[in-house]
Amino acid sequence: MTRHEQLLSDFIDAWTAGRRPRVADYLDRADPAERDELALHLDTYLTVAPIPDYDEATRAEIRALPAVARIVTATTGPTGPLPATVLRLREEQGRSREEVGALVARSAGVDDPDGRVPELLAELEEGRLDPGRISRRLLGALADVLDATRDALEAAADAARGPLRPAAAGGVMFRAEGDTDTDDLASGLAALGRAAMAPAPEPMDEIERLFSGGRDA
Amino acid sequence: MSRSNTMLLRAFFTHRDAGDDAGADQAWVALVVANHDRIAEFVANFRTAAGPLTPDEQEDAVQDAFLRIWQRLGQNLVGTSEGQFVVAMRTAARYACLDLLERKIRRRAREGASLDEVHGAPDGSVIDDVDPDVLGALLDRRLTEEARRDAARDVYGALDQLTNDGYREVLVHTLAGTPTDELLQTLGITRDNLYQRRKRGLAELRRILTEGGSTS
Repeated sequence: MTRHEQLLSDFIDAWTAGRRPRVADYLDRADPAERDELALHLDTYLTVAPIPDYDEATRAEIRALPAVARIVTATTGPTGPLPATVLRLREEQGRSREEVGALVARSAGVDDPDGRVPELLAELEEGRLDPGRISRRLLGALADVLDATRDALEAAADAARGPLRPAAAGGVMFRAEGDTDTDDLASGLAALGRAAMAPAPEPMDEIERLFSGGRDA
Repeated sequence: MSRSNTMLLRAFFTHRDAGDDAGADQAWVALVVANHDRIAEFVANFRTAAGPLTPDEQEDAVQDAFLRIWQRLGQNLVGTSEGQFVVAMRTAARYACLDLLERKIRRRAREGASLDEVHGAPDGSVIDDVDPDVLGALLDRRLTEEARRDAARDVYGALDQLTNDGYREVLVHTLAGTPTDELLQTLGITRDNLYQRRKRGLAELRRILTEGGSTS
């Protein structure tokens, strides 16, 4: 058997057994003349390879990787993947929040003399803003500044609102049956009355609308 | 034998459709853990003319690839086969790498760096002094074509097209995760013969896949 065949089969056995082999290590061990061909064979194998037979400790080891933790937070957290995506793209550019905030303000055409855009950008990256309320105009400006596409950022923002979930059922009408607690009803009506009489909140300014005014703001 | 992606996907969709978010999240995390190394290896072996991506770039591309898969789960991966799912993962990893490369080129162009610096094109050629917008359009078109081709491809179906029964027999067992020593006993062939059939079978499988021979 050739060295190439031996390395290929060793990799396959290590992968199947869940020993987490690295392609690069096997290529390093190959004869230079055979390296490219081995790389192609390993690539083909990885395309069709079964899920390795990891034991519990190995699964826990992979689950604890920082990259995996970030993926899980981005996909199972309440704000979806947008915060992690924006943070990753900004870091990829090696730019500070202040720099990106200033460029985003300029691209979106808003004045930001007090530097609020970088602060709101920090809130966005930290998952403290509702991605469902972020305007399309901001997503476009972020895409422009971060070399992404607006569609990709909008998809990431929409994901927070649950594209993976089945469509919500229609509204449910509740009806009192049997004995009704009239005290509860009265307190509910009083709360509604207080809410109706409360003064309307201050209208949002331009920057607030950009970050929290809804897609069409 | 470990779980298959089909089982994990079925668990994900079953929990999701029942409104059990915690169960769906758990199945998704199991999918991520089961496939992290595969995606990481695809990304690590993505080559440009300037060499592999840096470790930080690789980590970003792996994260991006999983986000793409997650977003596709709700769109067109319902009822997907094992073979289609692994192709989808491979495509997601490739798109993540290509997008990262494109952003890098745009950034350098914007910063005024010389594009004499060598960048690798998706087809392995060298991109030298290319307008980033032109590159973007080329990539978009290429990826759209690739996505269309991948959507109908089931890599396991390609096994049926192997012309040599001996290669197919070895690969079917190999892809089922049968350990080498057990396979030697089952097939009653020498180790040399087994290793040779594996290598040649994978080479033929690659040819079938790259020539678009597939499979539904």
